[in-house]
Amino acid sequence: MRTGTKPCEILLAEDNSADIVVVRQALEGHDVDCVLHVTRDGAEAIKWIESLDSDPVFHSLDLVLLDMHLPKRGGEEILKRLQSTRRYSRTPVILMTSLDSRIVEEQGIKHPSLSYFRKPSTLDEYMQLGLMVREILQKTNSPESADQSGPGGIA
Amino acid sequence: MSASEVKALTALFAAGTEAGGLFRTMAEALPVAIYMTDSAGRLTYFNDAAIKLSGGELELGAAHWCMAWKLFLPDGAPLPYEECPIALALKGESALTGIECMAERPDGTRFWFTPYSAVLRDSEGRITGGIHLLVDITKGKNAKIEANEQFRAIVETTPECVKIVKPDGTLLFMNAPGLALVGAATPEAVIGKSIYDLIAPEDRDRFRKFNERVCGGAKAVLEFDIISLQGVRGHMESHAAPFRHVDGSIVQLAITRNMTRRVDDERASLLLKAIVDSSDDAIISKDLDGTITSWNKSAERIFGYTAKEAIGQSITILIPDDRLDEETNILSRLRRGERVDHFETIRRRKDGALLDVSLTISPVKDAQGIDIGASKIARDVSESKRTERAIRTLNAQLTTDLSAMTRMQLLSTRLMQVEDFPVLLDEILGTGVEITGSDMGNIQLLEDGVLKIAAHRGFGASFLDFFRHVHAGEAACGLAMQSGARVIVEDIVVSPIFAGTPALAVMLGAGVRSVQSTPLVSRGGQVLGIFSTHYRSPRKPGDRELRLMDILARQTADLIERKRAEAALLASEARFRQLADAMPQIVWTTRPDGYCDYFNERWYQFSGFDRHTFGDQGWQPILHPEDLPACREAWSTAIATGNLFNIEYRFWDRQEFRWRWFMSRALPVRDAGGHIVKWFGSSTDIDDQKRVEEDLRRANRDLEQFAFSASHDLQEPLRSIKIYSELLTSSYGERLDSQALAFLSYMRSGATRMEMLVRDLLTYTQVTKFERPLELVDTQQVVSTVLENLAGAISEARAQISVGSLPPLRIHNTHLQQLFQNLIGNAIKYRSPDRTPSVQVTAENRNGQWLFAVKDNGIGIDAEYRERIFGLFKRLHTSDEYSGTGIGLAICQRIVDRYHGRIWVESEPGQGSAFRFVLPV
Repeated sequence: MRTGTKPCEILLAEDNSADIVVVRQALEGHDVDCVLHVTRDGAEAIKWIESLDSDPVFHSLDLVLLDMHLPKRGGEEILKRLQSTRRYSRTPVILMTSLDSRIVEEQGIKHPSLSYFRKPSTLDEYMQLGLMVREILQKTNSPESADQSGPGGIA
Repeated sequence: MSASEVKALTALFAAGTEAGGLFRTMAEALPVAIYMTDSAGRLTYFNDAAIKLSGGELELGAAHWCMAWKLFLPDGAPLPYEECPIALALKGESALTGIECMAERPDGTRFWFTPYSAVLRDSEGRITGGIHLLVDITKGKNAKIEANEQFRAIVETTPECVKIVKPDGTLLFMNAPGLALVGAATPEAVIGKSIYDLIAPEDRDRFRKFNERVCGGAKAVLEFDIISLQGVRGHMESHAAPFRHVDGSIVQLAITRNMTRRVDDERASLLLKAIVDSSDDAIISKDLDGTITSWNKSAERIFGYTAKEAIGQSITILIPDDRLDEETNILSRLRRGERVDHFETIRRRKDGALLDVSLTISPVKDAQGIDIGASKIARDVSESKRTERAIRTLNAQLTTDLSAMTRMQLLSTRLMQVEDFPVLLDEILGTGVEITGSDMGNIQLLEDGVLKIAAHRGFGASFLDFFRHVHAGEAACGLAMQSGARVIVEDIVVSPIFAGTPALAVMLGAGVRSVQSTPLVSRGGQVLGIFSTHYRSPRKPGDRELRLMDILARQTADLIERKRAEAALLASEARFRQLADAMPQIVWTTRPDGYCDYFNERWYQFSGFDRHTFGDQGWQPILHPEDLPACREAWSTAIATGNLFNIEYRFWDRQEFRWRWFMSRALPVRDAGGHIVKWFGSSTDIDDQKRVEEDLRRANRDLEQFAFSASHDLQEPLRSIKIYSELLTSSYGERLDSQALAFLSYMRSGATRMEMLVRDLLTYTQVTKFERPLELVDTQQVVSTVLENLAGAISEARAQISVGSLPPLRIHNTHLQQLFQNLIGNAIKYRSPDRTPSVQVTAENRNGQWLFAVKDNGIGIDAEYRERIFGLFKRLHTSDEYSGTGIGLAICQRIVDRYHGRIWVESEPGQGSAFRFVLPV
């Protein structure tokens, strides 16, 4: 997938270590070339997002995988903080939840590029997450939306 | 009418009683115009004759008593409205009676009338109005008017001075030649003024005496001087005769000659004769022996003798035998020089008929002042006498009826005041006996089909004992009771009713010869009793008497009904209060206007108010201020519409020192006519209930929150268990033996089952979460979605599903889907292995509710489990036989409950089941 250039950067905000392992497997299983930044609670995730603007050279962001229910700070707060950044306010976000997507929708979460992934209870289904990430990255890095995306590019 | 009669009449009119109605009926039938006015003269009542007389439309309250008439005095002078007798009477000035007035109707026709007025006063003596009778006397007047016209024709055409002078010297009339003689440019210059001013001073005294003599009834001649208005003296000779003026007084009619321009003497006396002849009154002169010496035309007309027949005859030919001494008396008075004025007596005509006449007789003296005879002016007053008599008869009847009505009016008042029923009946009976003029009477009440004497007058023990109990058909009263109509026995001796009965002897023994029995009938047509009056002689009661009896019977029946209703009401009210005081609720009643008139014991106990000092405050003093506006509105709406009053509000609990919730309801109590007579209300303490409800709601909310969070958090570890057991199998499967792999598979299926349980439990708790939608949901569409969701299971089981026509429902989409998905899913799951599964989904309208059914041909359910299956976690099979969590039907039950519906199952084990549920539209 990647052709020499920098791998894309993905933030995973997830407290369940069992899920972290499986997410990593799903990304690898679909050959997503990425640097996966893992934060284990909400406060940590917000801190990482805040560092984006202050340290533009070393950090960039192509996609966020966000569990809505995190310790300390909730997913909604994290989204809000992301939308307030200069360069990453439109970065695609995949909400990962064990709840019915309808219940999540009822909470009225808003983001310019938002997708849902319902955490499944079978391995096969979980693997589909990798495919979903790949497709989103391909779409955002296509020529017409290149200027809006992060500094990284996908060939 | 006397003042007290008028007062009674006023009371009758004011009370509007039936007795008053009777008066009106009577007044309508009278030929005399009768009307009543208020103190301002506006009409408050009038009879038919008044309408006829007025010649126009009368309107109560608006029209004035004199309508649009123009009024004139008898001499033709206009009579201002405020000076007419009726206006004067209403102002409290002495009411004139017998005066004659003329009125001109708007159409120009005229009539003469004599008004009779009586004022009505209130208890403080203020004038509140008047009763007026107008007697039309036009007919009698016409003859006079005719004569007047003749007189006028003569006077207008003669070149002589003709004048009329009142006894006090006022000039009433003077023709054109006369005016020229005294030098007056217009009649106004002299008419209405004293004639004496025109007479030369030295002749004035003589002229006054001359005038008085003539006005006293004597003919005379006088020579005198006048001074004209221009101051010119002239010598005059007057031939004067007494003349009856239109107002009835005797005045001087004189032909005056100017002696400077000699006019033939005879012409003047001829003229005088013509005038005397044109008089409406008989003018007769006689000498001192009573021999008639002159006889005018009216004397011929009135007495029937021609002048030829009369002159020379004794005046006694006119005097009835029994009045001959009158003439002697008159003659002796005349000899003393007295005048006989307006002497009303009776005279006889030639044909023997007697006449009412009014006589004015004056002595006639010669030039030397010696009596030579008498002049007699006779007026025929038969017509006015007749009218007078008619009025007197009318008055007498009116007085009689008034006294009866007054008696009844008095009774009506007593009926309202006196509480004691037997006393009242006795008074009614007394009134009946009095106004019908009967000798005896009794009132019987109908009790248990038997007439029992309740009041009696004039009967002894044997009569009372014999008639103690009378059955239908026995005697006059029993017959009246049976027929419901009055029975009159004019003479009991010849009546078949009593013939051969022991009653006859008892009646005769009591002195009864005649009886009438009037049934006392309720407004509903039921005979309540009998009112009988008895007479000592055979008799047929008159219409008037029976009419009064009817009125009295009506009053008596009403009284009996009222007393019975009161007694029933008292009894029911006593029962009600006894019951109300024993009730734990606050009970109250109000009048139809919402005013509280009763609170039970519990109210005083709760509110702490004293029963005796509480008064009329209602419940406001202890009502929560926040609840006051809503309560007020609900109450006034209920009062206005007559609908149920139903509201929850808080009262201050003085013992616990806090507000308590109460539910108040009130219903109107209506009478037979549907009118609200009172409101009956209760206030129930629902504070504990409210508290429990509130606690329950809170607990439910907490539980939902808990179940939701728990279900969510429970799922996380389950997913891990499942995914990692898969990972273990896929990544390390080759290194594990078959037993280890089997263990892993058990672990996975256990986790899967747990996952389903958690998911279903989550759904179960979510049922109460959604509000009832406002829009209708397309049930048909929902079932299609369900069938798509179940497509896998349906095709696997090769099930045949038929869906009938389903109505749209006002139920949340998710709920409807869960309901059908569980029921159709179950129908497929619990299919019989022996046959092709078939499921029918139907709906039909039953009494405004929809009855749904999901019917299958599966394994069916034993009767003993049909209730149990709707419970949470209740299953009939192991999960090895049929998978499931035992929550599906519990969810269905909860959804149906949520919409106040009902769900149940009908089943034939081994044949199939039908799950039915009803949902309100």
